[in-house]
Amino acid sequence: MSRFKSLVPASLIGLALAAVSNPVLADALAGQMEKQETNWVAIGMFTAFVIFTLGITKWAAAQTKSAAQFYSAGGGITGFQNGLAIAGDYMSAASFLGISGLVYLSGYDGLIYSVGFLVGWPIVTFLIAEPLRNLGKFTFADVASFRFGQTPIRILAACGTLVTVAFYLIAQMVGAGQLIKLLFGLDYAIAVVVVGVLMIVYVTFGGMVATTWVQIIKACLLLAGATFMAFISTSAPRPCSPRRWRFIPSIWRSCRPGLW
Amino acid sequence: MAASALEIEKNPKFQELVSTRKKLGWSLTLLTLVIYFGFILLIAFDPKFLGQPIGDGVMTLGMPVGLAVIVSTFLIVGFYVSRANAAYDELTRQIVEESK
Repeated sequence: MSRFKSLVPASLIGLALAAVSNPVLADALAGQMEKQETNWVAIGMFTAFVIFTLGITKWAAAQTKSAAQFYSAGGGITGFQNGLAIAGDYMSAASFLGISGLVYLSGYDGLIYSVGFLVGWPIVTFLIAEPLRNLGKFTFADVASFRFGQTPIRILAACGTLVTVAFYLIAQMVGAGQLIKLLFGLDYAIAVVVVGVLMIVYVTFGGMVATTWVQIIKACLLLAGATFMAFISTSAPRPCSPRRWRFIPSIWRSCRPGLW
Repeated sequence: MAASALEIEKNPKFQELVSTRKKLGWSLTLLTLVIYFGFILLIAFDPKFLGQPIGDGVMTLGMPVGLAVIVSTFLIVGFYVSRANAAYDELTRQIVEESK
């Protein structure tokens, strides 16, 4: 259920690159980020994305009536959709912000982490996915307690979850809180509470249908944004053709109007 | 009448399903781990090898090698999925059919 943790809205992520790639601002835990002036464009984008995804959550909540629908969308998600959603997970704040920051700060050593994430997933597929499906259970704790004592196994699983959360989710919450503070000029405490409430609302009301669709949208946005940035940043400056493409803004053509 | 769990366990097709699936899962896990830890150990013990420049630009050998690790996981999962869809689902269907 790793999908449940990474609902940091995608609109923040692209805007955050500039903040993370600056080593002075990278020390997020120390709270050194300056409170910015209110940025209405960023707030508008963020609000639009949140309203849109909350709409999806409302739609999904109306469909969710059983545990099977809550945890696995009633089996109604195709392989391709699920793949996109998992890709959205994979490209979440951890890899998109964290890895780009790590690569910026420590070069190739930072890249190792992005490989490490990916290698864990096939092993989960080979060893855990099939038993999970065959048993018709939804969580690791359900499977483990199917054969062993319920109470100790569930306590153990809960401890594992909480330890993972301590390392993973808190860092994401801090990052998201700092981002909102940076973008909106809100106080840090308020920013963290806003992000936390949004995450809980998405997951509690929408279940797997909503989280899957939010992740699919996030994956498409991130893929489009990252591809766009990769092309723009790696293409050599060249003059624009004034006749053929003049109706497209020059930044999208990766050309320099002045060079013509 | 439906077969009991013990009868299904004795079904040679069920035993074949369990053993081949276990074998494939663990051998692909091992392959993934060998590729990944080979990569990590290469970084740890021979960083100069990955630092060799390729071509005239800033590209080093480490970039295509890192990409190859990522692509290899795609290929391994693709192989697993094709095997699971072709062989195991069919075998499971046959076992369920025979147990009815």
